[in-house]
Amino acid sequence: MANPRSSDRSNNRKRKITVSQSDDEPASSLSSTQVRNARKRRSKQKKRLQDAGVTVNQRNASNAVDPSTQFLKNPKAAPICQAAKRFFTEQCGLEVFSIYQHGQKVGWRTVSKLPVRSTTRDKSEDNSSKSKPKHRVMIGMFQPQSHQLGSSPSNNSTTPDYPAHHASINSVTRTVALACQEMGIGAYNERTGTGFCRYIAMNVERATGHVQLTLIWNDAPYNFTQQELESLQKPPPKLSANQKKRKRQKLQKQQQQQQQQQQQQQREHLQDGKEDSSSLVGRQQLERLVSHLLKLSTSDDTITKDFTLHSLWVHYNASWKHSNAIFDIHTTDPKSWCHIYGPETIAEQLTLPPCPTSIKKAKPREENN
Amino acid sequence: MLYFAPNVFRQANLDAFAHIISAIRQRLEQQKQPKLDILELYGGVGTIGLHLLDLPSTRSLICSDENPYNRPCFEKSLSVMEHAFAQRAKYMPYSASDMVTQHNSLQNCHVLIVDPPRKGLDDVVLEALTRVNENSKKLQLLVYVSCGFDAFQRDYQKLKTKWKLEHAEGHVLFPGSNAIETLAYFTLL
Repeated sequence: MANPRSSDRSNNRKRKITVSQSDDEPASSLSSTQVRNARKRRSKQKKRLQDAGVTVNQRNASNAVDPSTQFLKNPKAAPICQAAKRFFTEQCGLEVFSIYQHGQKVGWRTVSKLPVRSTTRDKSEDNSSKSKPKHRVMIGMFQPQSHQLGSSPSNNSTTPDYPAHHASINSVTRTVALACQEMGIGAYNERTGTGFCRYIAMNVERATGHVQLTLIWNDAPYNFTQQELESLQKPPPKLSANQKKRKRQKLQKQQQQQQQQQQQQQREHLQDGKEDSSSLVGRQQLERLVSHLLKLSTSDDTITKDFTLHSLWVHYNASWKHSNAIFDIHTTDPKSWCHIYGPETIAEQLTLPPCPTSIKKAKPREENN
Repeated sequence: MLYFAPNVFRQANLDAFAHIISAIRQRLEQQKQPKLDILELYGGVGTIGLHLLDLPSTRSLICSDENPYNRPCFEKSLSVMEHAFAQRAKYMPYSASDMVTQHNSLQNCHVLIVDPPRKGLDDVVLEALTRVNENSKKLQLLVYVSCGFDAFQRDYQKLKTKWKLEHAEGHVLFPGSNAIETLAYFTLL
């Protein structure tokens, strides 16, 4: 039952207008002020680029370079390293400023938070099958100074591999994107504030390569009982080919119904200001995704052999506008973090090297290579 | 052993960060004070501080951070550590600003370790460090681990009125990116 106080509040809200982005996108619920502000932001950004003498093509070209690979050939030659050297020797009076680079140049990143977004299928792609959805789920890094997902020049897929990322992160990213696609999970849309899966956060346990995965979910927390959480972790019964086919058809039908239901609820949301109208759809999507991911993680299938979860968490972050934060750190709701599967923490043993650096002032050590 | 829940900060390249911890250990071993009381601000789950507890010169460690999710991770690390070392450590779940103002924590430490986020030290912390003689008679060494070089440069301009830069070195933790982690030691003027 809707909270009467929230209904009162919503009645006092400014009237919202429906803005259709395109035929493929659901209608958004932007107020006239939000539409005006969005237009102003776009205009300001365009002007900034023009003032800087940057054309759209130039910007796209520079954004195509993965910023974490720009100085791979000689990491210590990065401009900031050179600036630091000048600063410490010329302005701070140090005789020497050594720069060290230890370990691998690729695959070093064991922590990553990546946005989950939807992308329209390219017209050149095979669209002969009408069963293929028009949108694909894409997970990757934003291009510099934008909220546009980039694709790797070496790999045009919707989930590009990044050289800096640990192999487990690339593997989990690919698997989650495919799982979202297959399970009909709504990727977050920044313009409309709709869609449930907005980010994934990953931590790699270095000793095993297993990943602590967090789904950042665009909704208020759901109340899962312990029994419900346990049932999500149970492997599904083995099905015959016919049963699998029927299940697939049933799932597709369910997804279509849910999409219609979601659009209907969005319309109701605009009209009635109901606070929790989409929660049921969101909860069903989350349950489907979690079950599927856990099934993949524990399966012996060779296709998913690189996908092993250390643990699975959900973080609920329904903040929209005025916040780009991936984690809603200001929330005081203890339910905003939900531990679903596996150990709560990753254990990391650091191997401390015999001190590689020296602070002996008399004889500064030579830089290592 | 360190423990990381998803809602705490973890260095993206722990392999490389271990070299910074080694360097800090070596610097503390050279400190003349026989028994050191160490304070770590912006300490996270204790990635640096917990690795100083076994040094013979360490008498006590106070590690602090405002993120409430860090504390259980820190305490879990203590629970699997040798008791003699674990009992030297204490966690305070407060922001760096609160630590230097409300808890007067600078009064009771010989060594201060700061590992702030990219934006650098909070103004209140900088202010306290530039009035350090009034706040602390014990404090001798400031260890500054910086992931934001621009912020470090700004902070240095204020720190240099009271502190002498003894040594600094750079570590490339994100090879290929335009980023540098700076480790700097300051002593009182």
